[in-house]
Amino acid sequence: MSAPYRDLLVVGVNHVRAPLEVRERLAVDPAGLGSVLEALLARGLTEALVLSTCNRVEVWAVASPPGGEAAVADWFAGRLGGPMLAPDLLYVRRQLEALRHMARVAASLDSLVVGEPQILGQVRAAYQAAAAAGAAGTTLGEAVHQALRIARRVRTETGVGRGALSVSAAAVELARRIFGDLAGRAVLLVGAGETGALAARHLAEAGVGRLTVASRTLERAEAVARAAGGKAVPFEEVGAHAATADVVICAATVPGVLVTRADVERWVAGRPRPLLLVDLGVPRNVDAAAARVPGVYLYDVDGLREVVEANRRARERELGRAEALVTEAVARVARQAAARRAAPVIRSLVAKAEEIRRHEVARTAARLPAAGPDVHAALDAMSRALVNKLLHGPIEQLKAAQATPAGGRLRTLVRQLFGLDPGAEEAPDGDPAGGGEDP
Amino acid sequence: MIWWSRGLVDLALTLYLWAAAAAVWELGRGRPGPVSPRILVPAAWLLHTGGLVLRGVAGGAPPVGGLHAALSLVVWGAVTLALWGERRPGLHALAAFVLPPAAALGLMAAAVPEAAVFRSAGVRAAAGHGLLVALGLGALAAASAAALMYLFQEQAVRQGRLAGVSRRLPPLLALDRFAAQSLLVGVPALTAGLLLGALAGALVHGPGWLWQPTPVVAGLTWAVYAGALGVRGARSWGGRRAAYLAVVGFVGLVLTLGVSLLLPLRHVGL
Repeated sequence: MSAPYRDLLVVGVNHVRAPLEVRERLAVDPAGLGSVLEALLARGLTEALVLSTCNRVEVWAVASPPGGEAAVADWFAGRLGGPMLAPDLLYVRRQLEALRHMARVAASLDSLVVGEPQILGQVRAAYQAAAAAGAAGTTLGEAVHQALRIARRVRTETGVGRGALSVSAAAVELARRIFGDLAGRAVLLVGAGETGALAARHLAEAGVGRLTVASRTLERAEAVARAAGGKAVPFEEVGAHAATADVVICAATVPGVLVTRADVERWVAGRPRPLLLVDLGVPRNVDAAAARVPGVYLYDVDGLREVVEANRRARERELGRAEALVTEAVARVARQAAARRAAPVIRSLVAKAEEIRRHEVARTAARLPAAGPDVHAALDAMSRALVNKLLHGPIEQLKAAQATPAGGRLRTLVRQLFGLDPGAEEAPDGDPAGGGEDP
Repeated sequence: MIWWSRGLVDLALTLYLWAAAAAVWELGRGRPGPVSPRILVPAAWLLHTGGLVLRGVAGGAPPVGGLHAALSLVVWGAVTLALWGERRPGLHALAAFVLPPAAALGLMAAAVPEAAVFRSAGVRAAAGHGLLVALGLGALAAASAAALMYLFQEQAVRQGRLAGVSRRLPPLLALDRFAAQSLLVGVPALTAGLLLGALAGALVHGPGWLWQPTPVVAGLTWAVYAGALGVRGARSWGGRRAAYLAVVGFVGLVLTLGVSLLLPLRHVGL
């Protein structure tokens, strides 16, 4: 195993293994994080961070085996205020498996809602808090940065993070698919209940140009408009505002149809652009026949749920690609880390070759007293090219072999073959795969 | 010089084919391939433009004196508009719809002999007709590609299928606007080109020629496009209905082109 990840360790519980009543007792609030990290370091961990979200509580640490995982498990048990945590609730990942786990968590492949974006920020915040408390050093820092780098690749190169997963977000996604940029768009919200307010907030966050809120109770409309940065208007003005709006969201609690097909036909008459009608009301606020008006896109709650479901299925289809990307990226990190083990041998080899080259060039130059500077320069360039070309193949082979059990033997062989200094530093070999287990 | 022109155009066609495959791959897979169509298309367009300019210089007239050159100019017009469109915000993936038919037309152009179909019969209007119709066709090809994209995207949006290819297509409003702007370029060019063609044909073959299949089908197709432009302006018809009209109009244009160039009928300057 390469030196940087040899002592990497992850111990934790998550939403798959541990019920909420266990997770909430283990959860660490930001105010108490400093003392928690202190307690973990006091148990013999070299470096530590705590990732505490609603789906998981994990300790990412650098610790010498085997004491490290026992120390963390003991800490978990202490937080529960009882004996050791039931073994099937806790998982342990070590070395490269720990790095792989960190990358999967940061990429939201291990989340309850696959691809949710918050986890990336939560991992970053957990690391920053640990670094600020002096609990995270170089090794953990490098591992976290690798995990975040892999997670960002997963988010940009696969579709696991794409597509809205809530009804309100689906409405925003539909608006974007119809209008593109929402910056110049006008939105009318009819009804100022909780559902409507949530949709208004989503649209405001998406950057709509103008948000108007109409409600039978003007005070409630004003409250929602204030919160979302919009303007409240009396309910009687709905028709006038709808005629200029690009998106109309109906979320009123009314017993019957609030918007008829004739209303919609009047709103869109003579306008060159489409109208998105989002009906969040139950019972429905908008006459279903309005969907047949040219240029009108009408979605009710069930329609939006279908969008959400389709998005969820699409994310799940991307899971395989995302997992493959994580595996490939971790393997690459392992290869790069392993190749670093050959660095001392390579440095010695290159230095020795350079010494021989310089010596031979000087000898040859001494035999050519009539040669000018251009001949010397050509001689120097030729000898340099010869050495580089001869060494390139063996050096690459040596680097590649470090990820295999033959790596150590090959380093010794190169030292013996070229008579290199045997006293140069050597990192110990280990199990390149690392491992994980459920205690 | 003609040899050089042909060489440049054939090289451009090779790049168009490559770019078409890359654009379709990107649209289907959702991630860039080894070479981006955003590099290939401008490179191909520059070579193509160079080839057409050389041909024009060699012939001393617009490069529409043969079937090969005329078809090549149609491809050039379509790619020019696609390039312009793709530089506008939100209008990505246009190349995946414009390039495959454009490249297919380019292959047809490459397959026909240099001197096929219209040799100038001394009517200057025939050259103007060829140039304007070819450019108009190019613009209308781009409009119909945008219309097809619109219909595909609209179907996906109506059915709530927002994942997959739909995610990589432009928003409906951007597509509708691009189709309208392409019509605004294509319909006037086509109108002027057809008028010049009618004039040239009547001068060469007599007024009775106007009732031949070529001018009749061309007139009907023009009526579809003029109607499409008219209802867009007068009745604010956009979206799906306008998209259908653009596609129907383009089918008519392809029919006209087929009838006039490939069947043994009398064309404008023959």
